[in-house]
Amino acid sequence: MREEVLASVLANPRVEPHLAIWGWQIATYLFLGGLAAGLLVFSGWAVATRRVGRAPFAANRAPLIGLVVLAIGMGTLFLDLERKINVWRFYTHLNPTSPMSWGAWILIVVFPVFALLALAGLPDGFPRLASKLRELPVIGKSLVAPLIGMSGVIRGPLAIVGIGLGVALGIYTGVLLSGFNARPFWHSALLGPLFLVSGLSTGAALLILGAATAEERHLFSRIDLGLIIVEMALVFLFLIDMLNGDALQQHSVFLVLGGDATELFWIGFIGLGLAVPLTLETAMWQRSTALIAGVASVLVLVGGFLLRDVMVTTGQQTSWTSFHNQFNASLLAKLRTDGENPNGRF
Amino acid sequence: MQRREFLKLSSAVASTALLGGGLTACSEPAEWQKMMTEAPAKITPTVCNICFWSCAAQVHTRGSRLWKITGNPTDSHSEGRLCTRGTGGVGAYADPNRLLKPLLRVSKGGSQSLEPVSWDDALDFIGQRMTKIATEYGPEHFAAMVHGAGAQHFLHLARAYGTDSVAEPAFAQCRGARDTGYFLTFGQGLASPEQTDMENARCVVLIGTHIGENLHNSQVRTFTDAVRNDAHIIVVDPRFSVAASKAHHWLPIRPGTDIALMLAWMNVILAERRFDAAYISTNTVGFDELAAHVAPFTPEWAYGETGITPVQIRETARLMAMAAPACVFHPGRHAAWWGDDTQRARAMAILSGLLGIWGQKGGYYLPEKVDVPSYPAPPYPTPRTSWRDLTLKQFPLAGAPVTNVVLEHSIGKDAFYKGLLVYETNLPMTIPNGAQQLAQAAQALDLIVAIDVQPSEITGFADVVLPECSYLERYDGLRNDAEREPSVAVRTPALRPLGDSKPGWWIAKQIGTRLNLDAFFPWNDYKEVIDWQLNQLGLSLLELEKTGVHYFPRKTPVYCDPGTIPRLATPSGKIELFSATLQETGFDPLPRYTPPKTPPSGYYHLNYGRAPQHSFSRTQNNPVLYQLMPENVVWIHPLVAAQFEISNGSYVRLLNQDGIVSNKVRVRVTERTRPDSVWLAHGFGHEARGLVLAYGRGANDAALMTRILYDPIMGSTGMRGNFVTFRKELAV
Amino acid sequence: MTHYAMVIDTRTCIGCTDCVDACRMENNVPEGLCYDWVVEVTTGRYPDLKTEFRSERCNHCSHATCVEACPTGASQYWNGSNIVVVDATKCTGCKACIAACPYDARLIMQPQGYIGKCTFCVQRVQYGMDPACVAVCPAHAMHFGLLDDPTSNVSMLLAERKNYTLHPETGNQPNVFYLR
Repeated sequence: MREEVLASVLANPRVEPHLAIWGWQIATYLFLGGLAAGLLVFSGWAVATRRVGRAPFAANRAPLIGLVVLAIGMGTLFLDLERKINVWRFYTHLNPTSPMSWGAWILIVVFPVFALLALAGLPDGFPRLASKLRELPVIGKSLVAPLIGMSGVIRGPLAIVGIGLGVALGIYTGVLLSGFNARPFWHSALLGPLFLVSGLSTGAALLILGAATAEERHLFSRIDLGLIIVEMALVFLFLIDMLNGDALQQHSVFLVLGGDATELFWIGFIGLGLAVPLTLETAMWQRSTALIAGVASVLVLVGGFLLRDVMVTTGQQTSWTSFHNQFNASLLAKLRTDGENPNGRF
Repeated sequence: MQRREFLKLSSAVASTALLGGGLTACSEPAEWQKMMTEAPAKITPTVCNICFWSCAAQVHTRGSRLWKITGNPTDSHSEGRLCTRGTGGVGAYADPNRLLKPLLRVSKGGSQSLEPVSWDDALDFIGQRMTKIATEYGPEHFAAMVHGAGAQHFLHLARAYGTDSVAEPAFAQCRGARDTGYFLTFGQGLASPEQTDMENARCVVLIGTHIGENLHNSQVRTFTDAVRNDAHIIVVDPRFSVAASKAHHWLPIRPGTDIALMLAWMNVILAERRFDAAYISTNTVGFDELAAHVAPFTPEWAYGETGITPVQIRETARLMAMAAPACVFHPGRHAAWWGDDTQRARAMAILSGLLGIWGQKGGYYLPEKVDVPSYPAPPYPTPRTSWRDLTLKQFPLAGAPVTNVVLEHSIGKDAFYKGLLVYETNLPMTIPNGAQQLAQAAQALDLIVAIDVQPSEITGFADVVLPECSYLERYDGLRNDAEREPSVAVRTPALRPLGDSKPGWWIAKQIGTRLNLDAFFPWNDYKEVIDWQLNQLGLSLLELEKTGVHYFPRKTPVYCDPGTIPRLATPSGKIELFSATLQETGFDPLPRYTPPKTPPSGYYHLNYGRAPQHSFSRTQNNPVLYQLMPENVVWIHPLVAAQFEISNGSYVRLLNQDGIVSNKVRVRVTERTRPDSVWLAHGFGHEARGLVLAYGRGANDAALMTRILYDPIMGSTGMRGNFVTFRKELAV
Repeated sequence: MTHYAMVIDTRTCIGCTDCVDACRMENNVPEGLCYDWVVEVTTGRYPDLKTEFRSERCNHCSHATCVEACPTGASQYWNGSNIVVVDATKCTGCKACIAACPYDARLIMQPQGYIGKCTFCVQRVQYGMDPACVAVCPAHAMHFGLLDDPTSNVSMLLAERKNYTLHPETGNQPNVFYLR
């Protein structure tokens, strides 16, 4: 028999007994980041391959929507920071070993590219907005109009850069988690591709929802079908990887194979988020209907969020350590006034 | 309606938050960054008061903020290292529930409460009642129960007033039986700190004492020295204690059978002639009687009683004999167990005598203390009735007042004692079943005064509660213990007393003034007393306020020559293996083994002990120590847990043989206890609501001790004869 | 690199938690939080038992994944040593370092929001003093010193006695050693 207990009480909030350092904010950020990456890739692809006419929504409107999505995502990331006043510190330092640092800098580069692509699509995508912007006092004529003009000129090369950055952004959302050796459930190189494909899939789903024409809708329905199949394969490989990993990984994967996150993972993510859309989109291979495609797309988006949520939440619960307080650790909340303000010394 | 209700002081009466941490701006550097450039803190010498080990310490303050307390590097008790509790002394000052105002019991509309009053009102009330007791009955009808470093102020007050009934739980609830046993054998008890020369021992024997959980500082250090030195460690304990985990030989003995084991050890040592015959014949009396007495108690016989195999008994006995005289028996401190505790201590002392370890290197060294003169004062009046007159009829060899005898003589209209002063001892949780006795005594007594730092249970029984400041805010008498290197150490205030709290010496002097005893307090500030005493030693308070401790050269050697022993104060002047004194008073002159009561079916021995994070029942509300151990847990063997379907980490209540039910307590299922016993750390399960952190946390072992096994020799209150079973607590 | 190490003797450690206490006092650790903790491991069956105590904290890894994970450079090695500290003026509280620590030795200081941890009492180490936990240990079971110096007490203890570190397989190269 082996008994391992703590002789002192370890009750650091959100570190013990289970790490819950990252909540919905990070899951949302990873989801929206992936979605934005998907939108960037597809809009770049539509422009670069001269499909502006066949996929007008993707080419003209998606960049602006993606820009807003990414801004919201960064907003939730900001919400998660415990020391918000220091947020600017992300941009006084580049740590090549920190995915978080890479992500911060990728975002900085993605934003102007996204913005320029959005401007380039503006005259066709949002003509009224474009004209309003052009008529802005002071900067309208002097800045906005030339910018829109310039972005239109460099749209082609910009689109190619956008595809590259979109892929980087999509992979980064996965690498952010898989870079942590300390969390066995995250420690798989498959997380990068998985999150990228999921990001592309959710991007495609949003394009289906906003598609300007039946043709555009059908195009992205078919693309999404392929992505879902790849994503399922990657999820399958990820589980295989975990089951054949080290002892900690083998143990951790049981959180989605019978453990706390099983229902959310299998029914929510795999079932509703992948299998149902897969079925619906396969059925629509020849001819898609707006309603069914819409339902499938919403499910893909929900599934995309659930994937991030399950991964973020579950991964934190896996650790190299296993502390067992012999005394009731919640009694220390009395000292901390219930964990909200532990600063007062007595 | 009761004469006195047990009042549960609410936190509204006690103080509220003391120190508030302010919000800091978010761009602030981290604490460690600030500390990198911080100026050194102010250091004030003190003597720790969290337990009686009295380590000299240094209080680090920055302005009015208490930062930390560390050991005084020159002090032999601490060697610059305070224990967990001493380090947590910060919380004794910063306890949010400290008493900060004198309280007086008032009756309003049929209900009683303790209301804040001025010091004058509180002291005048005490003065009037004590004067009334003295004139109506005589001052000897007043008793005091005291503990700790400040006890001497109230001992002085009581003696000056005219009573010698000043009892300490340290006798009947703690060391009394052990010291009586050693006194009968060697003519003196063991010192505190104990003179165990563990750092030089080749063999260390611990019988029930659990160094480790028992965190007496220099004792832990010298015990771990023994471990480092690869000395043979023999631990006799029904529980796999910390010491047992360091031992080569753990003897998981059946509770209550220690004497059987020790008789068998003697049997082996004598049968195998593993002793120094010359030493025995020169230095002991009663060897032949002992030899005849232990002859039947073979290891095979003891196996049936103790559960320790004959092989283990022989092996350990041989190890002791081979190591002798560098073999030390730690006598333990809390020795009030089975009602035959003096005899149990006698058995240990006899083994020590047989192995010739008294005054020997690696055995018991010879302690020495500094001769500190008393401050000049008139002689104390002689009480017409002494505590001895009440006690010795019952317990003929009691060397000090017995707390329970005092309490028993306080119960009822015709009780001998009419008034009681309690200083810094939480009697309801200290004395087994003490809460019930106090509740009865409270019905008749004319006065109960409680002097305490915190609103502990005892304050709920008092007419007057006087708030003492913590040890960090006051002077106290010099520390002057008998030990290896004679020294004095001084406690000086590092902080101003919080609220209206006052030092013990001030309280004693003020009460004295109201009893017209000013002649006994011919000074204004206790500093004068300390300074005068130090002057007599060629020192000054000014000097000690810098150094904290001063060492004096020894006047006598720390060991005697091998094979010899100094003249002992026993009637024969020698080690009394056979005690004529015991025989004359009608007790067994040689230790006799009485089989202990076995628990009824489904019940388990209630064993209890210390935790390294807490002292008695005094520190559970200390926020620093609460953080380390907020509750006690009951240790249950996996087989028992399975039988009762109790899971690890769940809460149960303990139910004793007399139907007393404890507070809920968390379960620790562990292999570290005998299956026939459970184990509980003492001091938890507070019922005083004023102790906001400690209230209702864990189970109180003292309340479960309804069966007290008195030692007929000296009145020690044996507490081990209680058994418990479990009641599952459904709602956690 | 100045290579500091802590060596803890499990043979003499009595699990008294004084190290936790002294750390909290020395470093003004807010109530309810701690930078170190004591683990008790019992193996075997009654009466054949073994109990070991381990005082645990940040391992001040030579290859510290928390420093690697920090996007702002707030988590850093102090003064060219292996002592890992967090500069609160740079910390955003993104918690990447908490996720990156295999020993779960970091925590959020609230309400300031920076990440707290054991600093080996760098404010003491800069003056050549031992960390508070080492300096207080009543069993003299804890040791601190330089691994670069083969004559230091930690180097000698590690050379003489069998020892282990926690989870060396993380590759973090922890620097808190336990003597068997």
